Amino acid sequence: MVTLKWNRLIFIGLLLAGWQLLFISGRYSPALVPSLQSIGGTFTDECLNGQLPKAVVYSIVAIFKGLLWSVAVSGILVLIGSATEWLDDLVEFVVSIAHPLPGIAILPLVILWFGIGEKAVLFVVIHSMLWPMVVTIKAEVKRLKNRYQRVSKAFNLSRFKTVVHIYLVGTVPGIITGAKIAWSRGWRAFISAEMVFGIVGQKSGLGWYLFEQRVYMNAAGLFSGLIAIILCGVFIEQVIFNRLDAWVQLRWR
Amino acid sequence: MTPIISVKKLTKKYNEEVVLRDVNFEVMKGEILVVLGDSGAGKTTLMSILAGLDKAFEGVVSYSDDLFENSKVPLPIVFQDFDQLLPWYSVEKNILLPYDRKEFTDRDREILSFVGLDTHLHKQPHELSGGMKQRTAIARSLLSDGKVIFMDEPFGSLDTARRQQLQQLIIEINKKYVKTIVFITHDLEEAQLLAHRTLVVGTDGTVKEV
Repeated sequence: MVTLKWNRLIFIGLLLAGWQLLFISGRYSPALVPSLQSIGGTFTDECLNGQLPKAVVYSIVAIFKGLLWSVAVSGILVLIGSATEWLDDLVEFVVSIAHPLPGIAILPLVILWFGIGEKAVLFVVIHSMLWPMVVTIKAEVKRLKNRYQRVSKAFNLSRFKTVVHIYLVGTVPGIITGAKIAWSRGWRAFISAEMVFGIVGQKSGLGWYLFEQRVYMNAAGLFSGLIAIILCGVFIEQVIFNRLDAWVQLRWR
Repeated sequence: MTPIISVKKLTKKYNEEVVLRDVNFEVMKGEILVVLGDSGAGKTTLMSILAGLDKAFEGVVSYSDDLFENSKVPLPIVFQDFDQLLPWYSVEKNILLPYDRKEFTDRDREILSFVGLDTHLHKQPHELSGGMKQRTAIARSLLSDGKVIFMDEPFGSLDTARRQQLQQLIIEINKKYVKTIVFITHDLEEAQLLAHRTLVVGTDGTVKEV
């Protein structure tokens, strides 16, 4: 759960007060440093007219689409790797090449392949999420193998039972941990792809929202977008993943 | 008594290091055979070979034919560590996993009651004490129609009171279900309490009956 401790509340209060003082001082143009009322007003208006909620929903759906693909593809890669040592080494090699490559770096190439649109964004999001997932799931499978291989052999468990009941079900904590790491990478890649390259399909997410606010020089709108990104991040990380993680840790360890 | 496992001229090496040297003995039907030795002497290696987990050795290990008759799990093992149970499954599912049935039979229920697990079946392993976890592992092995159970220092991590209760349970299991038990331990008192026969694994890799 998100717990607001006193030190954090004081920090937020000081930050807001400092910002408002900066605005009142008149040292910077309101176009660059808008007042808190202006940011709050824009944020509320954008929420009420549906612009921000639409962008938020689209962004979260895109991320979870990417997450599902990443879980599925990483599962397949780990399964392939577990077949033989040779294949395992190959998967390891592919991961070592692809993992350090930022999603945004491959975006120009992806635009060439897929054009500008949802497919390109999804590709970059999957690329950003996939490799940390593979690394985490592989580590989890290795741990399970060390821990339960003797039991599986001693009790004559079939390959099917071993894969399903030990590796598949046992990897759930690894999938959650991997998803927790992967989603933040995918989230950053998604926002960057929409914002830096302005690639969107028929609908658009928070990156495009920020891109538009920058084009119109709307600083209050930019801050509204940033607030939405922060709130989404806190919600997904603290509410969804931390709760899932706590539940899984209790049941799986 | 009839031999159910025969070991002849067994030698096991890890790289060039000899862990077991020219070992010869038999496991007799219905006995509790205790394998005693210091830590690192090769007891677990010997048990892994007997239970068919380790097949890289010199010599011959042969089993009587009836050992594999009507048994899905002919050579079950109770390990020392508690994490031999899958923590994401209940006690019931852990016990049933190796077998092809989804529910306990009347015979299973009788065994569970005998082992003292009948009221803990829906618990998760993390809700059990160390002793109850080992009872679960013992029940999982007992449900096998096999004639032998291997136990690799199963009570090594338990306190004295729980250890004594479970030692008593092993003696009763041996009598009631006529199970041959190959029991690994480094504890001389435990060996004296349980053993019909005792084999001592020496630090030079030899195995002698005492």
